[in-house]
Amino acid sequence: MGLFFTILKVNWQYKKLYLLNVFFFWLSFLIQLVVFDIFVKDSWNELIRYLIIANFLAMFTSLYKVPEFSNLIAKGEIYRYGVRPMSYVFQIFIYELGDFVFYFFINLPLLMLSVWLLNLSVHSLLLPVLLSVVLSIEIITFFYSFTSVFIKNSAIKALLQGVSSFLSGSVIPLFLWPKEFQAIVSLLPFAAVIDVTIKAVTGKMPILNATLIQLFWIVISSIANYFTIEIIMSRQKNIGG
Amino acid sequence: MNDFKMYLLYVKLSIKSQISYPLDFLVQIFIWFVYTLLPFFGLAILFSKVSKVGNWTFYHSAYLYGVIGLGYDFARMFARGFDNFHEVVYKGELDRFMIRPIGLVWQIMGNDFFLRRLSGILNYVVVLFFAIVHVHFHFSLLIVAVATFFLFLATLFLFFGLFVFYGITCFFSIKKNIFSDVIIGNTAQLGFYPLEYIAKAVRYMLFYVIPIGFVSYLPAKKILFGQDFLSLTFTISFSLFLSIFLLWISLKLFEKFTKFYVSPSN
Repeated sequence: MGLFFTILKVNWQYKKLYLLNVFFFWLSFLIQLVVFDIFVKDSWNELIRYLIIANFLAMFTSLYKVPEFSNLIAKGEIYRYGVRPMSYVFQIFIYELGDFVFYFFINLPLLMLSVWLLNLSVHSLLLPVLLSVVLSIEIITFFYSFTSVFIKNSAIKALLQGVSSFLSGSVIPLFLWPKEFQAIVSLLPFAAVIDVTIKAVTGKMPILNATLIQLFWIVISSIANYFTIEIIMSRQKNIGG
Repeated sequence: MNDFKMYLLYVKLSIKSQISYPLDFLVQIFIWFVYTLLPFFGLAILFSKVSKVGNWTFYHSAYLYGVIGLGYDFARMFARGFDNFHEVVYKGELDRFMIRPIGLVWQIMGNDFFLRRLSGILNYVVVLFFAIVHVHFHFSLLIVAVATFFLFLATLFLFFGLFVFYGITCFFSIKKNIFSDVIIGNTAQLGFYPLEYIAKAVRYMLFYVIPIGFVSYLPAKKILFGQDFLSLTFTISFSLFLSIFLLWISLKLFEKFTKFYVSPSN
């Protein structure tokens, strides 16, 4: 109980950010409902559950975030990462994970309300959501590492946010897609962040299967990141004293 | 006329600076093309669930998507300065604009010209042609083309007016506020769905608060399904009048509200 009040007390300092998040969460959810109301006539319970969890994951995971290192590259200040006695990949990962922890506590009251409303088990929620967060960090790290090639990150942001929101199922749930497309899209890493997590949380997919899919993509993207980030960063040139 | 010449000079310089990094520019053009195509795929997926919504088929909605998208992207290209107006206010750059002997609106418009929107425009033109080829119109192709052009203009003026309204809100919020994302973005996103089948509260908002229903949806419906030329002419004229009136109001208000600007510089 004491911990809960401490969290509330900390949250109160960020009440504006929390209210803004809550506002966007419900707005996005309602707009999706308004559109789906025209096209979807059945499976409404499933749809509502899917959309609420998808909006949550979109808020918690890093898919829609611009990582700090990308902004630093754009500003020419990435040398900060270079002078520390740690690898770039590790620093980027730790920074983004810290950001997730911050937003997690900020949005905790909303999360608790949703878990209660949807009658979800906290037990089955933990592992898929945690892996989803880790995978989303790996995905954004890979894409935004190309900031050092283009210098600006607005195009990468547009591409990643557009494509990932679409292919992960957070805009249009994958179960509404034509079957042949579903089969292809569900194999991609974006689906492993949102769609696979929702299936695991709602019991549509065994947690073991979901974990294996997510772990597979985490391993692949971590290896890709290790090479891309370290190679790209080693070629960075900083001018100045 | 002098203001307009200066505006053209601003735009020329802005374009020159954007294409001075050709690789970055081409990549951005490609990425924005993909980005603007995604809602169209979404529309196709939703229409794969139902073949029709009332009279509306996928091609009818694609037509609306094309026209509204064209108006929206052209507005964002020309009114990018208003879309980014928070930065001008926040950094105090408006001080410099105010001491120049050129109209404020021309300077804001010329301050930022969003050239990469060309890829979205190309995408919407292709979708529009694709829709026109597949839809059976009661009017001749010439009437459809002329009416579509005026409908595009009306939509462009509406969104332009909304961006100017966003500029007004920046005098008070100083920093970026949610008007642009929530009101303008969502209006563009919801505008291409068959509005008469949308939830009542949202429908009222899209007709009476941000009148995209009157400006774009009803005229598009007349072009797609109408048979009466007089009724089509009246609807298109009303749509144009309404959008020009809203743009005029927003520009007048913008002029009035500049007095609320407080410079952050000393």
